[in-house]
Amino acid sequence: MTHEDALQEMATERYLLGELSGTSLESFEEHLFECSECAADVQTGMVFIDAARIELGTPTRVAEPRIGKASNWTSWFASPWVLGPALAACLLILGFQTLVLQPRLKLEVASAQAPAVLNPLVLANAGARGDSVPGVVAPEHGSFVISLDVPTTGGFSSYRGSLYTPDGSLVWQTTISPEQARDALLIRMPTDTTKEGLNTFLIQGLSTSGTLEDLARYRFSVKIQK
Amino acid sequence: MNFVTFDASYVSKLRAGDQPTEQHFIAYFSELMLLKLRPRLRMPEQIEDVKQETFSRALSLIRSEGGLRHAERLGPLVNSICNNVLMEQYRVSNRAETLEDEVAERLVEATPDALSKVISEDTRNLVRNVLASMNERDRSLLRAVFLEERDKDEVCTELGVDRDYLRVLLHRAKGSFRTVYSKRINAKKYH
Repeated sequence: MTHEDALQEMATERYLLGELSGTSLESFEEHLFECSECAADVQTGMVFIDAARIELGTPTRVAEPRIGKASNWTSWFASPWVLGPALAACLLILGFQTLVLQPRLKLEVASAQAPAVLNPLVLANAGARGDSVPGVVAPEHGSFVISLDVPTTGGFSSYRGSLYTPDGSLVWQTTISPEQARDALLIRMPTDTTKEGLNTFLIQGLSTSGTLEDLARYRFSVKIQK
Repeated sequence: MNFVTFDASYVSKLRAGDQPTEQHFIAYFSELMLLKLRPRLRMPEQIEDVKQETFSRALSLIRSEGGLRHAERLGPLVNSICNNVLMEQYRVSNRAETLEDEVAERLVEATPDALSKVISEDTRNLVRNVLASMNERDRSLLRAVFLEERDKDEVCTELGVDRDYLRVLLHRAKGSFRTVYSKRINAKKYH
């Protein structure tokens, strides 16, 4: 077999495909041993087939997942420029709650639950007669008790008690029933509700027609003990 | 393969026991015999035995008086000796088959052998690219023939092509692969 014959007959391909047998196989192999070009062609073909067997037997390779840009506006939240400061802020808040707020709350809860002897600040008739203004030294974040009388003349359906700070702003209000108004009222006042200085507690009567009438105005001074 | 022209000078050096020439002779025909023997002998040891015996006889013949008169017949001589040794190997292995009667289909061996195991990732990438450039039908054709070892006529009929198409497909694929593969091989040789 000559090289031209081998090319013409596609002998390399037939050899690789196992289509040669008998004398044609013998003839081509003899040619193979004297034709370096055909030898190289067969060798390359065998390497190709060997590698193709491996590749064709391997499941199709899946492209590596790529993180694409989110198309919607929520991708803004995933930006490290936002996530970083947000995380830092969360840590700060958490630290503040753990180190400052929680101990203070625990202290307040403990003090509220602990039995204590309280001397009420008696406001009955105080101020009404122009006497000296009573005062109380209240613990910071604690509470104190005020005692006062509700003038029940006039047959009001209910009464309203309002607390005004020294600057005249209303900070607390409560409704008092006629039954509660029969006796002296004891009101526990959280110190945080009041402000240091001259506070005013206003008692009003609520008529059945819905009108309010001022009945008493108690003034007392508060000093907060820090 | 490191090609060379087998002329009188080459054969003369072989006769004289020139080491570089003998090394080239062994390296060159080792690769050729491997191509020939791989599909026929499954055990690497058998292949090695046949190669060694072939070289021993060939060199003895070349170095004998009037052993090789025509230098250009060196290749066919080695092939002929290899055939004889192979037949003896068959006899030793109690195999009834002869080279003449051998079924050519056996040339396509399914199980990857030692040679295919050393196929580099680089070569696999080249082949992967060649396969990726084919359409699905051509890939299916090669998969059925080389991987699944299905009957070629049956596969060709199934895919609506003839045997010539299969040969041309292999020819083109091999050509595409060889173009890049040869460059890589040559580049490695010179680096």
